[in-house]
Amino acid sequence: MPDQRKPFFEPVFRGPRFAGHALPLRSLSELETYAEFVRAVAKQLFLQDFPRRQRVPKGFNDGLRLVLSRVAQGSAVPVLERVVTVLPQPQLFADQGDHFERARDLINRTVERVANDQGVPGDFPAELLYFFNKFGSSLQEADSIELRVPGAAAGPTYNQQVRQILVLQREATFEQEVDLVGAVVASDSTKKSFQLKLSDQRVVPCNYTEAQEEEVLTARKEYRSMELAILGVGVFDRARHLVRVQDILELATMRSLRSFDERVQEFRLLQQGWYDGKGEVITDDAVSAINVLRRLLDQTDLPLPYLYPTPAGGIQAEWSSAFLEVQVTFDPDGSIIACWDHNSNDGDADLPANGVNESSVEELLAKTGLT
Amino acid sequence: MSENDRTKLSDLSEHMFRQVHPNFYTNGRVSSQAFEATQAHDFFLSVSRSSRTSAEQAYGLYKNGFGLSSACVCTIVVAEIESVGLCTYSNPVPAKGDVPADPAHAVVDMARLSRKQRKKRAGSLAKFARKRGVTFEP
Repeated sequence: MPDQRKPFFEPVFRGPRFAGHALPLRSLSELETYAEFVRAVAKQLFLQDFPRRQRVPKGFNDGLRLVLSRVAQGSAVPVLERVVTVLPQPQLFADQGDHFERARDLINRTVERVANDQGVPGDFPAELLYFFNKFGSSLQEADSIELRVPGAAAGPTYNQQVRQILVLQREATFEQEVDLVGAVVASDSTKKSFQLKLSDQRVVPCNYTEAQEEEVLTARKEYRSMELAILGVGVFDRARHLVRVQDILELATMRSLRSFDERVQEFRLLQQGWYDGKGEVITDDAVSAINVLRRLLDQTDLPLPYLYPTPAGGIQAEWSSAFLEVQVTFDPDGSIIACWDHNSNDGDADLPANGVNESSVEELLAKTGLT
Repeated sequence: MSENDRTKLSDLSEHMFRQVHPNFYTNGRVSSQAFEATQAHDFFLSVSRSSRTSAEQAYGLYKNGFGLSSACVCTIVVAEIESVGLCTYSNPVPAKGDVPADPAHAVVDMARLSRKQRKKRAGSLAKFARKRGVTFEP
């Protein structure tokens, strides 16, 4: 017999990401999770209807095959149709109605009640609440899904707030997709985990896979000059604190000047006498001069230097390699003095404060052998 | 340091311990400034002799005896100091009031160098020390 299609679910995705009827690819996995969720609830409903049965009939899950037929007008509305095989004989368990439609409606009713502060309905299988941890984990704060069934004018709204209430009924944590950027400050290859230090100084433990190891270890090795941007599944506690990143979905390394900026900021906080009673406060002129170097670092592949305050109130940038030793001192008056030792050939150069600009500093650095 | 105190160290293999200020030690790297003599010390770089003390004892005296800041202790060898054209002199310091004696004290003479020369020598000494690694870190 030929297969037929029957509308089953028309969720309305709302939020900035779904503008222009666009449906991000990540949302497709939400639809897959949803189908899995409906099947699991349907299975429980079936077993409730037939308490003497230990398990569902063979091929039960095939009763719900969903296809994405189109993305309808409105916001982003993927229309999911159910593929229904028309059987020659009446179904054996048809008396209890369609378990998949009942499961869909029960999920919707559960979301609606929780959104209205009425609690989880008693007939929802509590052991399946964890599915809400998976379904909707990619939703961002401004996103929501209206769980609309075909023919209905509206449906209950499913968002992060509702989702968290549902998940935390049974769990101590909930999962939510996170976008993070930070420095890899520690890693453990045996446990396949690392510590990501964010700009607000929080350190978040993250898990990684074998395939992601190379990039993680590179970011660890170059943590002063490189950051890791990750999209992953974050685990939050009841206070909404990010506890860890369970899985990384995407990651990329990126050059960073954050450690540079943090060092300069630390120097600005040094008090008079910081060098055992003798260190001077780091001057604005020294900071202005080193910011010229910062702009060059931002525009070029110049390696990031190590930075140190000088007792006179300046800042010293240093680079080291097997054959090269370079010190560039940004003095308190904004002038610059550079000394280098390149393959045992030493040299020096300086710039007066009124001659410090990007091109003169770039020229000076070229003399040192750095570029 | 007075001329009378000077005795040039002749054992080229003797190790000299140098205290590193916390602001000159970050992410496990020692700044060349840790080896740059300053005007406050008449451009003599203070070190401690391995024949008279250990790195840990020198650290303890520096921190607790003199009340100065140190994040770690690095080592350079007399031969390395001489290889960059500098000399090392013993310079024991007697106790004065509450300040304890420092019989292991020695100095590297950078007094006759220009600022740029001092910076270059400091860079070379730091490179020797870095290659050896930190000798003592509390």
